[in-house]
Amino acid sequence: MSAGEEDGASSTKTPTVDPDEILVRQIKVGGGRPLFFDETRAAPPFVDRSLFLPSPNDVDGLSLIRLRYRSEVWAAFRSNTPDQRYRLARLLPSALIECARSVGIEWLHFNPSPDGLDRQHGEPWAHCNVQEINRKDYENKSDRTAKDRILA
Amino acid sequence: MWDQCIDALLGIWNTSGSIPEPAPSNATIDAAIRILREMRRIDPTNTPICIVPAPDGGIIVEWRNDLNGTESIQTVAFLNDGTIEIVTYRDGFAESRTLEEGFPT
Repeated sequence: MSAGEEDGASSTKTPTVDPDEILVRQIKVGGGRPLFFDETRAAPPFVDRSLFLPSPNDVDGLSLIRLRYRSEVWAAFRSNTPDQRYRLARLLPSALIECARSVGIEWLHFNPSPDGLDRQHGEPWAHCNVQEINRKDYENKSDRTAKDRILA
Repeated sequence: MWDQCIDALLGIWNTSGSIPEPAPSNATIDAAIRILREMRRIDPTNTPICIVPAPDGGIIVEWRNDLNGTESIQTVAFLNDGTIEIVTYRDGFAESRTLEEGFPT
């Protein structure tokens, strides 16, 4: 079963996300860079976990890009911020789903949804959202802990 | 090491250009410094390992400890909306979470 199939019929012609395809999360340059780190006790993190929390832009779910449909060069670009380039963190849907299950969330839906580049170029869309990891639930204090657990 | 932590917070004013917006607010930095000073007074040996800017505006301070062979991570997030969020992770999963509304005065 693909990582977006449980939802039933979809209006998009974009194929559902395969659990083993590579997705990337855009990270702002400088984002997650420690202001202080005690290197005598551990190696500094490459990226901080806080960058995987849903941002105010992630209303419909955590925003990810499918490398199956977009090159890494273009995955580091956003049409609404053309002067910026983003670093990319690779994720596997199967690993995220496994992590979600371990905290009692049975399934994650990776819903294809167009971003600025997809709207310019049409389907198949490269952008998708992880429906269960969304800003609204994150801000809803009763539901937020479970999302924290996934993202930890 | 505590002094370096507090210096890093004070230094945000000089490095704010390199911190993605929204940068931590004055009130957030002030609250973080006051609470870190209090924590230093209570337990001088338990220094933070990491301080990072929170993606939505704020400061996250992290402690790591080894508990019976498993790594325990505690984060205290001072957020620009006045919230303090304390989360304890064990082996990569959140074990407990506490939310305080409003910075202490």
